[in-house]
Amino acid sequence: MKELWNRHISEGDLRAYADHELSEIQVKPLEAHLKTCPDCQHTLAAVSTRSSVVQGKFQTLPVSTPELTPTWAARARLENMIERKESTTVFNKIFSKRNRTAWAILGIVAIALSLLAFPGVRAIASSFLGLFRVEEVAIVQVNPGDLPQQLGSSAQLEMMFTEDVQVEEEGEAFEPASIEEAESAAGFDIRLPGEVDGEPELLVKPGTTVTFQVDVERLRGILREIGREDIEIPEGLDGEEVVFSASTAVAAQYGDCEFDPGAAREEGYDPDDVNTPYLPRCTSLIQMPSPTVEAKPGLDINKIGEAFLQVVGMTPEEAAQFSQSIDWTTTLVLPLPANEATYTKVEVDGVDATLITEPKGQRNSQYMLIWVKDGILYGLAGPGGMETALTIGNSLQ
Amino acid sequence: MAVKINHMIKQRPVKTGDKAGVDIQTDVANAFEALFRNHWNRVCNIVYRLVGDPDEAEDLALEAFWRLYGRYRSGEIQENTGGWLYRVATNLGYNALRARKRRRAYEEEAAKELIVSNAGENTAAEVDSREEQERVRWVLGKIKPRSAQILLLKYSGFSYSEIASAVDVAPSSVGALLVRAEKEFEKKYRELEGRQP
Repeated sequence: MKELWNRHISEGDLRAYADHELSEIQVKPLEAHLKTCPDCQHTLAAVSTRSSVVQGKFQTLPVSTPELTPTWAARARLENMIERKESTTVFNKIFSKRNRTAWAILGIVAIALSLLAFPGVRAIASSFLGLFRVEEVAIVQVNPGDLPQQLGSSAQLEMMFTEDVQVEEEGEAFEPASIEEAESAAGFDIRLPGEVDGEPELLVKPGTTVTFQVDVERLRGILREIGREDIEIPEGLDGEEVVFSASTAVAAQYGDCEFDPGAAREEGYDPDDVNTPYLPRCTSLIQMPSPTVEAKPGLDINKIGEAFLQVVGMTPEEAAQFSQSIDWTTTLVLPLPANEATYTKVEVDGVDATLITEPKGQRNSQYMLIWVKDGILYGLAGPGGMETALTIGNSLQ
Repeated sequence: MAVKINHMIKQRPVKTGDKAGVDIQTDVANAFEALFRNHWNRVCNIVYRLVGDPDEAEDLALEAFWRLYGRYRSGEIQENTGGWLYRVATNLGYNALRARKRRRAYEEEAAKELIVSNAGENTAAEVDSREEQERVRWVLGKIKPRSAQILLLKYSGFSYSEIASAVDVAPSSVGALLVRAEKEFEKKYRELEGRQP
């Protein structure tokens, strides 16, 4: 900027002047020139008018976000990002606030696990007790709208994952060269369906142990955050451990199982929109020895189950009724969104199985079939409906 | 890990202000904590004005702080940390805004439906205001990134020197850049109005 305004003043300087952003040394000569220069007066008026028009537009934008997360909670989220991003970015995506559905599921799993740790009576024995082994599958229908929304943004829950849950994986997943190699890694006989076209691609996923150390204060905090302080947590379990173990699993995949973002997008898949999941033309069968949960004895498992059901939206009465109809020590209870899938009991592979299907009329509908036979948990999923599911499920050899 | 977070939350460092760059060598952690505490709300609010979705704004704000953390840890930190933070945050917001453009068509449809279905509940003024916000954001996505940043910061109460440090220009250029940005904004806004029935 010139010290003396012997030429016309630039629009930028006039703008700064109008915004009171010039120093006193600059203002005096500018005003002196302005007094005598109609051109500059005109420019100033035009600049000021335009800026007030634009300012008016910006005033329609809200000044502050309606849901500002408290600084300390945001700081805890950031800590998680730092931890997670250093290992994997996928995990971080799960923790994204945008990803509320995934969050809610994680939340349910976490709460299911944590609820398993609450005994009705104080644990006295020091040895661990085999508590749970999957023999059956039961579905509880959940209305996503009834889930505590706060699960998706619970900072306490995030911290629990970071601090109290330890995941130990026995190794990296790998593609075995043969079925024999897969069997020797898995330690059980692998069965494959006859009624699927193509050769299977096998994937061996070594076992995982999840150790959850009970932090009673934190659990109370989570229940407080989701507005369920009515669910009681007994004293005396602080610091105790609950161990969830899944043995080696083997997946057999048939068809178009590689995720190809380009091809998916052409079919209308939008990676930013959780409501349009990409449904590959891939049939997969997962088999693994039944996972187990171990904790100290003395657990009133019915009460725990009922609490879990209440968290996913049942009334205490409904929860009590459901709880009495199943054996919690042998039943894997899967929450299923009521609007998005239906389920039915079928017979497959000579045993009772649970078939989950999407509502009729949906494009690319998928099924999922779950059953347990001889201590092995099977999960079959693919495109199609009940008929396809039963045909493939019954063809295991 | 437990110790680390608790330490960070409970022992809130007492340093304030934007002297983070200076203190970095003596107390990196404290400097970062102070910066986070002092700027979290403001960064969130600015990004929210730009993207209009509270959850997305928070994710983006965290992303900006996460990148800043990376700089701290790698020792890359120099002066003008605050300015860097707002530049990155508004860039992320701007990119998010533009990434949404390809979904615009059906979003507009959805918005129309929303307006129709809520017609009984919302006053005409509320509907107008929401439409106006979307128009402003649309225009911001259309003009040059730096222009959008400058306007956003200016009309969120930033001084010229703060704007200058955020977009990395001399404070004496801010006036001229503002004028240019406002011209761009006005032009695109008129185009938009001209296209509407």
